[in-house]
Amino acid sequence: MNHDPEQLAAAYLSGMRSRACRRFEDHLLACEPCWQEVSLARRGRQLAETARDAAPAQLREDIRAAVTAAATNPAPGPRPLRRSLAAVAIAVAVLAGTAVSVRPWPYSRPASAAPPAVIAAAVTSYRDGSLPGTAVPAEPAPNLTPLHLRLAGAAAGRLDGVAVTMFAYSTPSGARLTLVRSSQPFPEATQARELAGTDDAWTVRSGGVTVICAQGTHAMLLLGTDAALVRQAGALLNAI
Amino acid sequence: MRATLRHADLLHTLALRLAPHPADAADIVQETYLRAYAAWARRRPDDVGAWLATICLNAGRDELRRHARRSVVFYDGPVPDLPGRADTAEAALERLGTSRVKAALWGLPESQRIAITLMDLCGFTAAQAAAITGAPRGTILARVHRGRKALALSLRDEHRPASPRAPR
Repeated sequence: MNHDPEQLAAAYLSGMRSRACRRFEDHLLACEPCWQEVSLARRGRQLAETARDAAPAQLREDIRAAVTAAATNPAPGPRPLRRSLAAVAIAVAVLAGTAVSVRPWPYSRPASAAPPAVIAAAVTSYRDGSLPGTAVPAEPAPNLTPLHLRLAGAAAGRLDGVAVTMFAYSTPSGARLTLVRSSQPFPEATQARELAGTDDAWTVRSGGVTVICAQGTHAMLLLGTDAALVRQAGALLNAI
Repeated sequence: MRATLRHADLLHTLALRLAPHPADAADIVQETYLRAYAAWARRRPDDVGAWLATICLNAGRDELRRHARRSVVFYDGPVPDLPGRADTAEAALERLGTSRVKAALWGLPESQRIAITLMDLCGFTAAQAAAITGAPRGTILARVHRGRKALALSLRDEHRPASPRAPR
């Protein structure tokens, strides 16, 4: 079997999807190189986990004092920290009798069933036929001509704050496909489902647009209304 | 404020892998909270833990740069956890073992040390660690895997696992 034990073991120990995990565990029983990779890395993980440190109890109080001082007396420039904590403590002690209004921050937002903002922005961009900027991409456009997809536009820019490179393609019959690349991983949509036969690719259908996401060396989104074409493009790019 | 303080342990663990001296690590954590407080009005993160870790990583790198600019070296490696008087013999041995693990972590390349800290010590997923460091997820997986192997090899004779041969 032609495979990379290091890559497989790394993905396995970092949480493969259940189906891929079961497949790899079957393989693991018969493959000594993979078994050695997993054993060694698992042992390294066990060792690393022993090095956790609890923050000293005083640290929380120091943080409270420093943030309270910053909230009541914002000062530009470098801030003294522990080395002048006595001064901060004195300031807090002086303010102790005063009602201190600190903005309530931060809180965790409740989970939403809506697609993550960057995915929604990619879908909107596809539907509108727009590109996220005017900068010329530094990387060449992938060749999708075997699928009769010709490059119609390319740009580098931002989608919901995420730096992306985007390539728009179309076929002679008018079918469109958009490829979005980023060095940051794309968040998984709540309604996403695993793509059969892949380790970590997922797909979701949003507003009639099929989205396939593959998180390889670079994260990639493929979008189009023709689900089969999107899938074929993913296979051609070795993304799925 | 209370909601963010529950991340103090995580940030302290991360800060200790950026500056091994406990006092410097405490400074980094405080600086993280001050920067987070200042930024809160501009940006409301969905994932507060990952957001704080990103700020902590930047604050730690700034601290390292400040240290690099100084000509005097204040420390050269991790501060060992020496057994205290109240430690039992078993606890003392365990603490010494932990010190070796921490020292071995400092022997790793920074990128591997950070990746292991984020995933194995702080509990972030590979995707979160990728977002925090700005590195692709595949790179994070490779770094953490190679770091784990290097750690296991460097401490081969310690903490022998007793687990039988079974996956995961």
